[in-house]
Amino acid sequence: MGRVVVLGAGVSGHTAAAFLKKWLGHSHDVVVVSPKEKYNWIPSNIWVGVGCMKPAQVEFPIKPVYDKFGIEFHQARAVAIHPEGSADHDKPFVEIEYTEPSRDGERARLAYDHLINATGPKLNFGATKGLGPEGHSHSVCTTEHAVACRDAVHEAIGRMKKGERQRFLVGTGHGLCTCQGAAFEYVTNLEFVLRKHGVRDKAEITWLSNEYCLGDFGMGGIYIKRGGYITHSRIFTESLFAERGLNWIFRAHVNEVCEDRVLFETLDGTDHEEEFDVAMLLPPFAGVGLKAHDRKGGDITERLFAPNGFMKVDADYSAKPYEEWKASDWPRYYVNPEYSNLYAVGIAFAPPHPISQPRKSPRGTPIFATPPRTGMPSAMMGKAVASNIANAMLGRKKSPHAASMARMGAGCVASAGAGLFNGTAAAMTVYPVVPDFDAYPEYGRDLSHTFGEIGLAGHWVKVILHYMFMHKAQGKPGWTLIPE
Amino acid sequence: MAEIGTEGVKVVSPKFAPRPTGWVVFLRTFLPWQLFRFVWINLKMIHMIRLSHGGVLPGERKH
Ligand SMILES: Cc1cc2nc3c(=O)[nH]c(=O)nc-3n(C[C@H](O)[C@H](O)[C@H](O)COP(=O)(O)OP(=O)(O)OC[C@H]3O[C@@H](n4cnc5c(N)ncnc54)[C@H](O)[C@@H]3O)c2cc1C
Repeated sequence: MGRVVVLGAGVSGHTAAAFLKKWLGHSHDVVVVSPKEKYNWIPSNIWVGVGCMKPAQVEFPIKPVYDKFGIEFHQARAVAIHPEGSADHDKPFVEIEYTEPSRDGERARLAYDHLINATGPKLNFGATKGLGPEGHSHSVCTTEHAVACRDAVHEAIGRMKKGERQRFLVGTGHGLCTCQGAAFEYVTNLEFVLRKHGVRDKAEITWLSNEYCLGDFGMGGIYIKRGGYITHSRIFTESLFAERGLNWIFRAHVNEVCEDRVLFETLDGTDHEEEFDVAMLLPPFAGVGLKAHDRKGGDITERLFAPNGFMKVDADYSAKPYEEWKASDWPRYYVNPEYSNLYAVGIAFAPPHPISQPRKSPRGTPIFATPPRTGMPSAMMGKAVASNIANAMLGRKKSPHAASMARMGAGCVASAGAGLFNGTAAAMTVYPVVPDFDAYPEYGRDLSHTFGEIGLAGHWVKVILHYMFMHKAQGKPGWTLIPE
Repeated sequence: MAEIGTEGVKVVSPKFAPRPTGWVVFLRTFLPWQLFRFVWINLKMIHMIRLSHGGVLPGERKH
C-alpha cells in the first residue's frame, strides 16, 4: 500500500487530497498535514473584513470532512522534508510538529511515497516594520485578521457617526507584494459599506499600492476589447476609483507603518508619508520556511527551495532579462527537478520570474507586483498533480496532466460591494494567466477570451461561487461536478 | 510620477480618469439587463474553464 502526504489544507492541497482519495480509493493512503483546525475559504474573508459575512460562513472544521473521505488528518505543521530518508529511516519522510492542543509541540515523522507541498504563503509581515495585526495595520488574509479589521472599521464608523472624519488606507504593505486583487476588493467593499452606513462623506479613502499602474494586479494588467478600443485594465480601475471618490498612490514601497501614518518610498526614489486612522495593508508572501535534509542529515534547503522559501519545480529558473522571459519558463507538472516524488502546488511553488515587469527605485528598492497564484490556477495545479500521482500509483500508463499557468486562464470576480440588488463586482476572465508573446505577439493573451465588466450580475456570480466552493470543499453531494 | 497628471504623489479627484455615463451606471444594476449579463458571464467562464482544462492553447497540439 502506498502513501501520499499532502502538506496544507488550503485551496490547492485540499483539492489534491480530495481527488487523490477519490481516485485511489482504499488501495492507498492519503494523509493531510495542516496546522489549523478549520478550512477557510479565503476569498470571502473580504466580506468578513467589512462585516458583510460572519466567520462561520467562511470556515468549517476540516477533520470531519477528512473522516468522511477516509483521509488521515494530522493537525500539525510540516517542519522538514527528508526526501532520501535518514540513517535510521529508509523511506523518505516529512517531520511534523503538532499544533492540535492535546499534542501541542509533539514531533513525528510521516513516511511517504509521494509528497505534495501545498503550504501556501507565509504572511511575511516582518518584512516591513510595524506592518500587520501585531503592528499598526490590519489584514484580511485569515479569518482572525478579517474579524479584527472589521472591528476597527466598525469603531471608525461609530466615530464618524459622532461627526469625526476618518482616513482609511488600503493596499499593499511592501514593494514586493502580490494579491492586489484582494486589496482592490477590500477598498471597494469598504467604500460601499461606508455609504450604506451613511458616513461616506466623513471618510477619506486612499489606495496605496506597489503596482506600476492601477489595474496591474501582478499580471501586467489585462487588455480588454471595449467600446471600439483595446483598453488596459488601468483605465477601468482608475475610472472605478474616480467614480467612487477613492484617492490613489502607486509605485510605492512601504518602509514603515507607524501608529497613524505610513512612511514610503516611490519608484522615483522620493520619500513620503501618508496619515491614516485605519489601515488594511496586505503583507508580502514568502514560503513557510520548510527545511530539507539529505540522508546524512546535511541541509539541502537551498537546493530544494528558492531564496524566498518557495519550492523549486520544473520551471526554468535561469536568470534572464524581462525581454527574454518565455511562457515556457513556467512549470507544467509542479514536480521537483531532483526528487520525482516531490511536488509543490498553489502559492508554494517558486515562480520562475514575475509576470509584471520588475522595476527598482534609484536607491535599488524593488517596487513591482509579484505574480499572483489565485484560487482557480491553484486548484487546477492540485488536481493535475493528484491525477499524475494516482496514475503512477495505480500503474496506469497515461500521459501526465500539465497545468501550466501559461496554458490556463483564470476567472476572477472581484467584489465591489455586496448587496442582492445593489451590489456590484468586476467579473473578468484572462487567458492565459501568464502571457505568451510567441502565441499572441501583441498583447500576450487571447483577447477573445479576455473580458471584464462591472455589474450586479458579477456580484451574483461571486456569491454563487462562494456557496459552490464551500459546498465542494465540504465534499457534499456532487462536489466533483463543481469545476476548480 | 508627474507624467500621468498626478497632483503630487497622491491622486485626488482626478480630472483625467474616464467616468461612466449615467446610462452605464444605471445598467449595472438594472435587473433585466443584469439577468442577461449573468447568463453571458457564466457562459464566458465555462468556456474559459474548458479551455484551461485542455492544457494547451487553441490550435496547439498536446505534448
Ligand atoms: C484576502 C484574500 C482574498 C483573495 N481573494 C481571491 C479571489 O477572490 N479569487 C481567487 O481566485 N483568489 C483569491 N485569493 C487568493 C487565494 O486565496 C489563493 O490563491 C489560494 O488560497 C492559494 O491556495 P494555496 O493552497 O496555495 O494556499 P492556501 O489556501 O493559503 O493554503 C495553504 C495551507 O497550508 C497550510 N500550512 C501553512 N503552513 C504549513 C506547514 N508548515 N505545514 C503544513 N501546512 C501548512 C495552511 O494552514 C493552509 O491550510 C485571495 C487571497 C487573499 C489573501
